[in-house]
Amino acid sequence: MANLIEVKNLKKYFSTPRGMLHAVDNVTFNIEKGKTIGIVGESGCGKSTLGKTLMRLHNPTSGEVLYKGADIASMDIKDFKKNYRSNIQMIFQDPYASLDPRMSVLQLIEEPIKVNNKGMAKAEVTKKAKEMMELVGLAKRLEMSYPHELDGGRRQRIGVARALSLNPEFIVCDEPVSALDVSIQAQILNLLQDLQRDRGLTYMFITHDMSVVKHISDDIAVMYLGQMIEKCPAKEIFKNTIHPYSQALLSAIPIPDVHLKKERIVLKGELTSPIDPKPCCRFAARCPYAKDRCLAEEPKLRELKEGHSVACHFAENFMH
Amino acid sequence: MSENILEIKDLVVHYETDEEVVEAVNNINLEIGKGQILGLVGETGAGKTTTALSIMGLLPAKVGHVIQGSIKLEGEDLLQKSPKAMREVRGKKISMIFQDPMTALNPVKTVGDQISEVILLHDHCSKAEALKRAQDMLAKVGIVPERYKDYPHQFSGGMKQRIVIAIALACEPELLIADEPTTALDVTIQAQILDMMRKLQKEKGTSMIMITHDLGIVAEMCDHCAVMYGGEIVEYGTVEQIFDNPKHPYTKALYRSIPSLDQDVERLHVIPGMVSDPSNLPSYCTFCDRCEEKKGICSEKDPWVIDVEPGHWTKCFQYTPEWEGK
Repeated sequence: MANLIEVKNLKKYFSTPRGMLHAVDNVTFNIEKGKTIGIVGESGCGKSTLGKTLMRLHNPTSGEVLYKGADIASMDIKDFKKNYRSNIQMIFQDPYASLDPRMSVLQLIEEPIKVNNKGMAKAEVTKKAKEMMELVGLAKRLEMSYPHELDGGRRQRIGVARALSLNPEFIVCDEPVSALDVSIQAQILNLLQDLQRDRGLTYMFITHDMSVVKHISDDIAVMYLGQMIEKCPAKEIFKNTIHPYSQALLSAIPIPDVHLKKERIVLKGELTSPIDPKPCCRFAARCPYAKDRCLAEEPKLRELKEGHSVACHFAENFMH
Repeated sequence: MSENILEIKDLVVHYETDEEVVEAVNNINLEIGKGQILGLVGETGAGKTTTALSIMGLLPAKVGHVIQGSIKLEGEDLLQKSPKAMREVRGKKISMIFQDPMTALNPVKTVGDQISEVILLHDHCSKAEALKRAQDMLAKVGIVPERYKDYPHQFSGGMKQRIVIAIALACEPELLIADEPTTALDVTIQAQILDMMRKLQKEKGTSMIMITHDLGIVAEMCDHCAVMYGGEIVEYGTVEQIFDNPKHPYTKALYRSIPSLDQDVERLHVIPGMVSDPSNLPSYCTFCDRCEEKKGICSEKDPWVIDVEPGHWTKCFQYTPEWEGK
């Protein structure tokens, strides 16, 4: 299948009083059309910045983002907004904070349609917004409701409807279910899957919840301090975890099974600073297997077997 | 079984405003054995936090009312105590860890002062001794004691939560209530905090109430589990009983709605409908409107507590003789 998105050596640095913060550092990956890539990692690893950089909500420091072959990372922002913004949309994390409390459900969904189709007749905008409500399962009687009257699941449906109203091909979902209760979370995940199947959507799914990411993704990429340290098919990562950080991340998840007594790798310390990182393995300070080479040389992401890439000098030792 | 540290009987809590009455907790009964960890599971609005606040005597003034019931800590009814007497209990006998470590700490006081404050208040020792004990507590939760002079903003989220835990444990309480202690944290930090809590529980024999919506945490940490829905406990048992043999339709549906790590499911199970509105609860079974196993009897009256096996009970008509034929 053809790649819809190709990201090459993408970097996003922020200038801070203490130095350059390497939020996204040299990330390279592809997303096939109609597939979902899950991006996992702890807070501060750069997963949201990566999503926002693809959306051009941040301007990348360097690198390329090819959307159907066109480099959307370096093009003029006006061109991007005019020609590409409606193709690439985003669903935000907190449905309590991302909706204007003074707009009704219908107004909220009409807004992006109006902004991106200047000159469209008002009746047509309303018609389209109503179609969107039906598509995401919002009842007609809610048209005049305001966000505070709705529960988290319905609010997130508004977020989904707003993103879909522009007929995008690619959607960045930034923790879309983290703020929701489990029973509501299931509704939204099912909705996203149905929409993908019916409309051939491509997702980048950012989350810290491993069970959610495994459920929805085709490929999974693990990020640590701005870098992609392991990338493989979703099923593979749970069977054959290679990078020591991914192993620790997976072992930290509490599993709802009382008979399973598993060994847990408890990492010492916390994320080291992403400001002006030294040219060494960024995980070395917390890695239980770190050797001299890890502190001297930065490991590159390399393919160990088909579809499975790892950034670790000693990756071969952890293969099963 | 060993004796109980806490016994809650027929507790009813309402929030009353000018417009409506919210029935947050309806007639719950709970017991926690000494040194045991109880998991309190349920979705937003199920009444978990209200139950915890009632135990602490921290219901919002004027709005929150205990309508009936008793909460006995080692035989003494906490609800009969004066506010002054409750202040003696809080922090000394019962402590609570709040959900959000970012807002639970005072930003203009050093962490050392915040920990020694509790010790000074309850143990009436010298300032120097309180500070010494505060430093010991920091070491115990894995923070370098020399950092007692630092302010909360100088710590990361996981460290702040450890400081909150240090404050809660400073006077070695007999009962610790942890309200979603790790929800705001990353999984690797969550693993550190849970590990630490388990260690402290083993060393000191502290009893705990773990409020969470994460069934994984319950499976790993708890001895018993109570599932709450619509202000009631709908199922109670040991974790083995609840996980291996869930009886209440809500408990079963909850399991099926979480994505599993070791099984592949095409679609997640969805519990139909919305969480019941606690300001407008039905007179019959609260879960009836969302239940997939309901029969006529379910919308006629409220189910009572039914023992399904020793130590395992649920509130569902399925397990009564009345179920047949209705």
